[in-house]
Amino acid sequence: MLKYTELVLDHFKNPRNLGRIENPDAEATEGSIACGDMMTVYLKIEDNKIVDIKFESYGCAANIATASMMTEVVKGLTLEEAKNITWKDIVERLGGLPPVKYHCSNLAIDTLRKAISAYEESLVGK
Amino acid sequence: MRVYLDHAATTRVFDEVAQELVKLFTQFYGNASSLHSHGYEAKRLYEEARTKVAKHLNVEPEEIYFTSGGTESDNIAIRGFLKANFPNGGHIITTQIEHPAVLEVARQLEREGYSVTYLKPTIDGYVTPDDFRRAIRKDTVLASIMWVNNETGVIQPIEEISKIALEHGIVLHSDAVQAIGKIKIDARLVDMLSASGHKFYAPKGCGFLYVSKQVKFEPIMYGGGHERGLRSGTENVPGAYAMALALEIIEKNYEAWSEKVKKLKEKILKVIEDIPDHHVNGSNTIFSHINVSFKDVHGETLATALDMNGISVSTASACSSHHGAGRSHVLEAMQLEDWMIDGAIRISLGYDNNEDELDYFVEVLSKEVNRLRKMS
Repeated sequence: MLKYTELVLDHFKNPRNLGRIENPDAEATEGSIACGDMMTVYLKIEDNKIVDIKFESYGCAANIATASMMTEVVKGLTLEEAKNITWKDIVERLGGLPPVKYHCSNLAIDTLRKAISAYEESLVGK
Repeated sequence: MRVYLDHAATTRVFDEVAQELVKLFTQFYGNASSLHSHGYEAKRLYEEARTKVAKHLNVEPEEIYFTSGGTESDNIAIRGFLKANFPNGGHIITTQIEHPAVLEVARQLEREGYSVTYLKPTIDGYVTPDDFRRAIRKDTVLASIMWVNNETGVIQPIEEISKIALEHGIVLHSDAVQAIGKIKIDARLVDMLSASGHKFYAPKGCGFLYVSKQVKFEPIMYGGGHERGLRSGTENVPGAYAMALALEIIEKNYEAWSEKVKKLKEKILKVIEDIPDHHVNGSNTIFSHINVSFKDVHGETLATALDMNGISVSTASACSSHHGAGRSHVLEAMQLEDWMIDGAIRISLGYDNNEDELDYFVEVLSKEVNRLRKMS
């Protein structure tokens, strides 16, 4: 197995915000071309703020840990703030990842951004 | 609790072997080619080891060449044979499920002008004698078919393939790295056979190659002319001695130990049976191997989860290289479904595993599969 930091393993073992939100304000599913992993993000948004976020994952330990960390980081942020979070921020917060797993944190960010876009598109015309 | 279930990757050196090794390193350290008493002593131990290994395989001592391991044995068997007999090309038959130590040699030979047929396995993980027969051409000179596959543990039909090779005058090599020390094999069925010490409780860095007296081969590495000129390099006396002793210990305990491991394997399989949506990859497998996939659980994820609980198993399929070189070429060749390929873990038991370890393992396995499934 790849060498992961204690924090990565902790998020893998006890993922934060795991599950789904019934009637979310937005959701998105994204797959990684690099590895075939999948994840889904559910958002609850009030006043342009992410008040709740949950995720589901079919992926490796790094995928689960990065998704978990991403949800912790963006919960409570405004949509603008959340959009500015990068995969590097997630890797940093986890105390590092093996480079071969960077694409996992990328997937977490891509899925989040896709969900935010879906929300913004849903507002158009309302 | 720490539980080691990756004996197909490597094994622990037997205590008795390790103790004897200390003596070899500190007392019998002479160069086996030296012409003095220290040298003669080492030479005697070295040749004793050769005789014991030969006896284990039921071949002649002068048909055993000590090497640095499986990869070297495979390389010098295949390349040394072709160099001596067919230096200008010819057709070779091997399989899609070989270890890279054979597969990459075959690919290199293709670049050098040889032509190679890679036999496809059935969905159960073995190549068929019929496919082997159909692949034979007028210019087929060599076949290299592994005895037991390292990822699935599937035993290949060497006996039938041996008959066909003999009928057609094709020299047969077998990578028996996963077979030696585990199943009793008749080395006379093949003309050349590779083995690696660290897979049967001897140290890393030693192996051997059996080459039948009927087969001519040339060195591919030049030097002091050791091993009758065919494998130069100072004799690894401790390695040879350790392999011979380890094989002796296994022979002595074989009935009891193999029965014990078989029972442990059955126990694991019984627990796996109760977990829905699983697939055991490969049939007719060796008693120490289980390759299994659980739907909706990545093999790599499960292996990591088990590792966090102190359990070491392995996975052939790393997520980071899903569509690249890291995906199991063996399971892909078997044309299994994607979830079976991505979900596979390899559990390989050893003679030193016990009931308590297995009770703990199956409990953690069920728990983790269940937990990881809830995430998706």
